[in-house]
Amino acid sequence: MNEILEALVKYAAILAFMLGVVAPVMVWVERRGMALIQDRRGPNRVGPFGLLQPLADAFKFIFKEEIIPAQADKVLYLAAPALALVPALTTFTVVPFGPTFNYAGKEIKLVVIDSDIGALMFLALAGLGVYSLICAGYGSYNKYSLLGSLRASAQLISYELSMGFAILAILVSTASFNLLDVIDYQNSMWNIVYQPLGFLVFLVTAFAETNRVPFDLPESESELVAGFNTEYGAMKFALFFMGEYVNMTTLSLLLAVLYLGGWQLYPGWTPPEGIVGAIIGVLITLAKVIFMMWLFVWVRFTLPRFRYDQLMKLGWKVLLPLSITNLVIVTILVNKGIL
Amino acid sequence: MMLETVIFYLFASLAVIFALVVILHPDPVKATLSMVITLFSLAVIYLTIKAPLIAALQILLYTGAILVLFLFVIMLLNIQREISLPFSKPVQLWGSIVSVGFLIGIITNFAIKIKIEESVKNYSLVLIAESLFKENALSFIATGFLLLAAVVGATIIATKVKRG
Repeated sequence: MNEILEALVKYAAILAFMLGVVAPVMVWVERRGMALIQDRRGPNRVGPFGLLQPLADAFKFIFKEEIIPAQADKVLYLAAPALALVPALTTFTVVPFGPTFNYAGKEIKLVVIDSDIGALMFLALAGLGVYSLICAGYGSYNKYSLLGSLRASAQLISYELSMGFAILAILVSTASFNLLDVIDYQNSMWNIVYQPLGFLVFLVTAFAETNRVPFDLPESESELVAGFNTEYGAMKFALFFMGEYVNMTTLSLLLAVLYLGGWQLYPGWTPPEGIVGAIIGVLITLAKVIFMMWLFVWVRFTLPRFRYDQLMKLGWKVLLPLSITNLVIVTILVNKGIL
Repeated sequence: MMLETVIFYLFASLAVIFALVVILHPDPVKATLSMVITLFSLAVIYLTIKAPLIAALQILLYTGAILVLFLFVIMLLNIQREISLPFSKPVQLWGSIVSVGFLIGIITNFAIKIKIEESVKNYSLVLIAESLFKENALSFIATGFLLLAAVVGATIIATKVKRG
C-alpha cells in the first residue's frame, strides 16, 4: 500500500508541474517565440512581458460558450478531448526525471513506475493518442474533421514504427527495457554520439507523433480549416492543446533520457548522492527538456508544412529504412563487443 | 488483494459489455471503438495477474496498431450501417453455434486445469527471450517468413486490383 501511495504522490507532483507550469509557460513561450522569429512584439499587454497572457487565455476558454454541433455524435464528440489527455497523463509515468536518492533510510527513485518494460509501456500508451483524433473526426460530423482524423491515423501508424525501431536500437545496446539502466549505460558516452542516426529518426518521429509542424497535416489550416479540431471551441479545444503540450514535454524528457544522458552534466558526471544531488539532477534534466522544447517551437516557425504524399514518402521510404539500418548496425556492433 | 479483485471485476465486466457492443452495434466504426475498450480491459486484467509484458504488447499491437488499421480501412471504404438484425442470416446462426461450442470446449479443457498462478510464476523478460530466441528460434524465424510471405501476397493482390 505504501508503494501505491508513494507512486501517487510522485504522479500528483509531476501532473501539477505539467499542467500548472509547463502548459501555461509553453503557451507564452510559443507566442513570444513566434513573435521573436517573425520579428513582431507578440502578446505584451497582460502583465510584465505578457507573462499573464496564458491566464487570460484560460479565462477566455472557460467563459466561452460550449457549442456542440447539432449533427455531431455526442458521445464520441465529447469523449475525444478527454481521450487526448490519456497518453498525455500516462506516458510520463514510466520516464525517469531524476537520480535515485536515499531519504530516511529509504531508497526513492524519481520515476513514478520503475518498470522492467518501461520503454515498451511508453510506446504502448503513446499509441493510444490516435483514438482521440479518430473520435474527434468521426464524431464532429464534418468532412474536414474526418479528413484530418484519417490523415492522423495513417500518419501515426507510419511514424510509430520508425520510433519503435529507434528506441529498440537503444535497448539492444543497453540490454534492458528499463529506462534507468539506459541512463546508467550512458556513463561512458551519451547515445547521441553512438547512434546519431537513431537520434535523428527519433527526433523527426517525435515531431510527427505530437502533430507539430512540419507534420501537422491532421490540422493543416490551409486546406482543412483546422482539421480534426474544426468543430471544437472553449475548454474542449483547450484540452486538445494541453494534451499536445504535455506530450511534447514527455517526448522531450524521453529524448533527454534516451540520447542525452538524462541527468548527467557531461558523459560520466552524475550528481552527488543525497537530496541536493537529486535536485541538481532534476534541474540538469529540466535544462535538457527546456532545450528540446525550444527546438519544437523553433522548428514550428522555421519549416513549412510537408505535402501529404511527401509525409508518407518520408515516413515509409526514408525514416523506416534509416531506423532499420541503425538497428542492424547497432546490433552488429553490440555483437562484436564494440558498443 | 482486495484492490486487485475490484479492478478485475470492473475491467472484466467492461470487457464483456463492450464485446457485446462489438457484435450488436450497427455502426462499424463504433463497433471497432468498442473493441478497443474490450482489448484495453483485457490488458488491464493481464496486469492484475502480473504479466505486464503481455499487457504492454496487447496495447501496443492490438489497440495501438491493428485496430487503428481497422478503423482506417472502415472509414476509407465508407462501410454503411448494418441494418440486418442478429440471427437473421443462416451464417450468423451457424457461426454463433460453433463459437459457443468452442467456448464450452475452452472452458472445460483449459480454464479448469491450468492455474494462472503457475503459468505466470516463472514470468521474466529474460525467460521469455530465451524461450523465443533460443529454444524456439527456428519456429520463430519460420513464423517471420510466413508473415513476410503474407505481406508480399497482399501487396501483389492489391496492385493487381489497381491495374484492373
